[in-house]
Amino acid sequence: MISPHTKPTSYLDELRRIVPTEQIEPQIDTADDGGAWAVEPATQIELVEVLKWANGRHAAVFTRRPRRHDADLLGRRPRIYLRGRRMKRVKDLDIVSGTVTVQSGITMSELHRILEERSFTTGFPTRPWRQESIGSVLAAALDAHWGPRYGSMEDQVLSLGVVFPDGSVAGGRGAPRKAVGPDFDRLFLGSRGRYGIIYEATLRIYPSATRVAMSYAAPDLTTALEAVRGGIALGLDPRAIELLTPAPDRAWGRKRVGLTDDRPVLVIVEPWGPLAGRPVAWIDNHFATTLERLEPPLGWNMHEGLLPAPRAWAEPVVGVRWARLLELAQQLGRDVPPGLWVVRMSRHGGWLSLASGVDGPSAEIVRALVQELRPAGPLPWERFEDGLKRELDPKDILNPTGT
Amino acid sequence: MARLSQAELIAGLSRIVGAEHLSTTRPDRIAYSADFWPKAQIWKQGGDIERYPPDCVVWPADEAEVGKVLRFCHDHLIPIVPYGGGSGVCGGTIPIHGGVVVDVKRLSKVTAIDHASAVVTAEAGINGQHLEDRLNAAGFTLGHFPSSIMCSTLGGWLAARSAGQFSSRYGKIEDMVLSLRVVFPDGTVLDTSERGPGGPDWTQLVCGSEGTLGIITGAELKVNPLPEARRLRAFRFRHLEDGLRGARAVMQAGLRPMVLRLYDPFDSLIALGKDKSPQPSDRQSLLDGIRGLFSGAGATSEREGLLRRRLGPLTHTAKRAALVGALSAPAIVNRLAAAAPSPCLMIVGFEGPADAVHADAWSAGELLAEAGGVDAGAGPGEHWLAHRYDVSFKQSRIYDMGGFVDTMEVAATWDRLEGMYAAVRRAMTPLVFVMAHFSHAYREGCSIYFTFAGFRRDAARSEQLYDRVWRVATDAVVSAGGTVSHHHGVGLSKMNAMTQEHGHMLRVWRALKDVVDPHGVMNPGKLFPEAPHKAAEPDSSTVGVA
Ligand SMILES: Cc1cc2nc3c(=O)[nH]c(=O)nc-3n(C[C@H](O)[C@H](O)[C@H](O)COP(=O)(O)OP(=O)(O)OC[C@H]3O[C@@H](n4cnc5c(N)ncnc54)[C@H](O)[C@@H]3O)c2cc1C
Ligand SMILES: Cc1cc2nc3c(=O)[nH]c(=O)nc-3n(C[C@H](O)[C@H](O)[C@H](O)COP(=O)(O)OP(=O)(O)OC[C@H]3O[C@@H](n4cnc5c(N)ncnc54)[C@H](O)[C@@H]3O)c2cc1C
Repeated sequence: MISPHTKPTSYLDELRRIVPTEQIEPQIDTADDGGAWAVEPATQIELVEVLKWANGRHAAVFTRRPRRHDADLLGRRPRIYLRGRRMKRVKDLDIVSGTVTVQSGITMSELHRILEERSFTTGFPTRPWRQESIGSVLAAALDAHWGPRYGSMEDQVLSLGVVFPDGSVAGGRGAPRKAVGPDFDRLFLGSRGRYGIIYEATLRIYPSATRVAMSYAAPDLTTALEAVRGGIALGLDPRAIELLTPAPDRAWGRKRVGLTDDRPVLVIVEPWGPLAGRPVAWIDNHFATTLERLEPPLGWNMHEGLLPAPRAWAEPVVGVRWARLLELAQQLGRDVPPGLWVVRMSRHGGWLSLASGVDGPSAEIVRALVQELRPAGPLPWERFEDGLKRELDPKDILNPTGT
Repeated sequence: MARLSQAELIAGLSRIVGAEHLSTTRPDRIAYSADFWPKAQIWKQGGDIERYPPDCVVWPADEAEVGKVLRFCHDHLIPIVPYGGGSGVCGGTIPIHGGVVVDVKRLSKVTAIDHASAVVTAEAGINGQHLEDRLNAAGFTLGHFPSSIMCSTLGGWLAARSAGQFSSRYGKIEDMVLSLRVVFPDGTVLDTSERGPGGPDWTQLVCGSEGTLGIITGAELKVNPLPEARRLRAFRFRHLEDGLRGARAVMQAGLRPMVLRLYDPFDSLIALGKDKSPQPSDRQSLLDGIRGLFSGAGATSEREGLLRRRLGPLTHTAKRAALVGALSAPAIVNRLAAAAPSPCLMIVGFEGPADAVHADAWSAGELLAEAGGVDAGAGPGEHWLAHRYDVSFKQSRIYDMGGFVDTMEVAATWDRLEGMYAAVRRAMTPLVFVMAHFSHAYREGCSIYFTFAGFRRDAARSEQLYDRVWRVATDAVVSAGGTVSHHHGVGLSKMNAMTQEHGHMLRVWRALKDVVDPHGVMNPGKLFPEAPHKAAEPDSSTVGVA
């Protein structure tokens, strides 16, 4: 049945037997490749069948948009670009446990719209990922924003449903915490569809509240860090804390939030809201003692006008402990470079990054730290991860290696 | 590959760890042939004191020696059983295929305490209480207090995803760990801190692997400042459902009590220490008898009664007779316990900065009162705190008398919790005496900790009953949509439920196993059924082979 000379047209016929024609869209083809189609499975069964077909045909299945060099790298292998938009059902909204189970193709904005109708929200930021599907957000581990209380993005996931490259299906049971072996879901979170397709996820949800971020200006990094540390020690425990200095090309945004040359460091603190956590006044009392309160309070996501868009953020991000953050602040003194970003701050540290295109001695100091904290490869896990790919996807079907 | 003789094994390993850090003596082999798995205690009751002895035990000095031992065993296909405190209750350290037990207790250093970042780096063999003591001296606490803290290790906690009594505030051990170091059988050391954002999270793939992937040699953990204040309160609820509603309200309001425990009616009697409600005297005595077995102080009621009189002389024989009487008719005893008009007790406590504790305790009080809770003061909570390590260690008296006792800690989301509680009780009550409390509460669900006790006239029949109870109970949990273990792990005892629990996800484990342990030497026969590498039956003339 499997012939190396099968024509793209017969592949298309075969695909049409699995999914209705309107769910298949041929992609730009060249004479000598194996054909490429965007396929929109509407059910888990269709998704499984597509993968089984791909195994039979040694096709490549992608969970991302086509890229120009895909055809060059894959030669005559047919290519499938999966789109999730027909798999976007909310399967269960469990308000007793505070969880929602969704198919992975739902976009963040759609999910939040549906939850909002019931006065809930997720632990994910809403705006930066408006059009992203929950599947791609989870697969790319876009864990930039979240602070001590919500935990990291991975913590928002109670369980995943996954289709393996050979078409077999697995889904864990949702329990608050388990001790039944390793947390296998973690293999799929962040690995960009290398080992399986996330078709479903159960996520934690929270009562929605108007989200207000409080913002303060600090003269230097040391003062900003001390205020944050003090707040954490007092148990103020806000939902998120973030420090940043606007990128050099964001003068307008900088002025808008009220930062000045004397107070260039922005401290954003998001309290839990009226239903939980410490009263907003406690938090404000603390931060406004040593920092300057910026008025009026701005909505969360204010940093969008201050830094390059998250999707354009290509610079490395490293986890930095408090000890090193404080050292860095000392080294920088009052010369804090623009485009600096410390996110997900907790009692133990935060994630640090510096926007591209920032020069000067202070930027060099930050870059040196980022460089020092970046793991130097090759690392043992890279070998193990390649091994895992070979075990779980021996034919290199799903998001093939090297593409 | 030719199997090694015992002499070759000893010579090879002695070269690595030194002869003084290796043992093949009978006492050591007996000691390392079992952990705290109750089934192994039943074997011992039947006179079988060393069913699965290892070929030898080694105590490596450091990570480098661990690596060499592993590499040696990997090269010679010798099973390796990692060993921490041996306090596991699931048979995880039982060397069912013989081989080498690698006890990591000499890796016991606190390598660093980063005060500014509230992070501790410690070696995996450190005893739990020693680690806590070191942290306390530096002004910190890990916040991890399993009842076994005095006899378990950091590595064992991570390997089995342990939970402490304060997990609602501080999380389970997997929430505390920032990164770990693990040695795989080919000697490769993986430091999971060397990971930026993105890519799979190896820390959480190694956590819970129960020694089947590699040996954890150290970890970086989040620590917390020693609490400035602590406040405990108790509430009584007329109905279990009310208590559960209250617990859920507290957790979903975003409060993080250090402890939130809700006892079912009989467990409440034990936790309260005293039953205030008048009872027909024979019922009272029967319950007192059972209660006496679990609560350290023996039966607390002063009233005389049928079973009380039988327990009266307090001789071993008399107590045994009472136990036989009570546990031979579990259905009746369970019914009596259920009918006892005891309120359900809840203990809730907060610790941390004083203002925060005060505010949180007040908010929790409001929410619990709204759910029907009646304030029972600080007493029961203080009592619990003072005696919280006692109960587990009282279990041996039941074995002494020829019975068995075990615990099953399961978890589910709130929507399934009551259903799971009822289903497990239904499954167990015809077979054993059972009681439960709900602890380790989280925003989206909670764990249930069942304690059960049974009796048969000989060890063989006890073992049959024991297996049957576990089978029906885990089936009930799975059918009710829960997980069969919240914190004790799997070992040998829950292996049979793993296919139902994980389904095809087990492929990931097999892939992991093939990649990091291609010879299948790491703790073979544990955690998941159908190990990819068929472990051979032990051979008496040569050392165990994987
Ligand atoms: C500090 C920092 C903060 C950032 N914050 C943000 C932010 O707030 N918002 C933001 O959008 N980006 C953010 N990013 C950028 C982000 O990390 C990625 O670079 C980017 O979103 C990935 O886009 P992509 O086009 O490669 O893949 P996408 O098309 O977005 O898909 C992501 C990956 O997931 C895979 N995938 C998609 N669906 C599935 C599925 N169902 N199952 C399995 N795999 C699947 C795809 O194959 C692909 O590899 C941030 C980056 C940094 C450094
Ligand atoms: C009285 C009593 C009370 C208990 N209370 C609790 C409780 O409150 N909470 C709780 O979570 N548990 C409790 N337990 C169970 C037990 O203490 C935990 O499972 C604990 O995590 C085991 O730690 P250990 O060091 O004794 O590990 P061990 O029993 O030595 O080993 C457990 C498993 O981990 C593996 N292992 C051990 N060390 C390593 C290592 N360094 N690297 C890789 N694998 C390793 C072993 O091979 C085995 O599979 C209790 C046990 C007893 C006896």
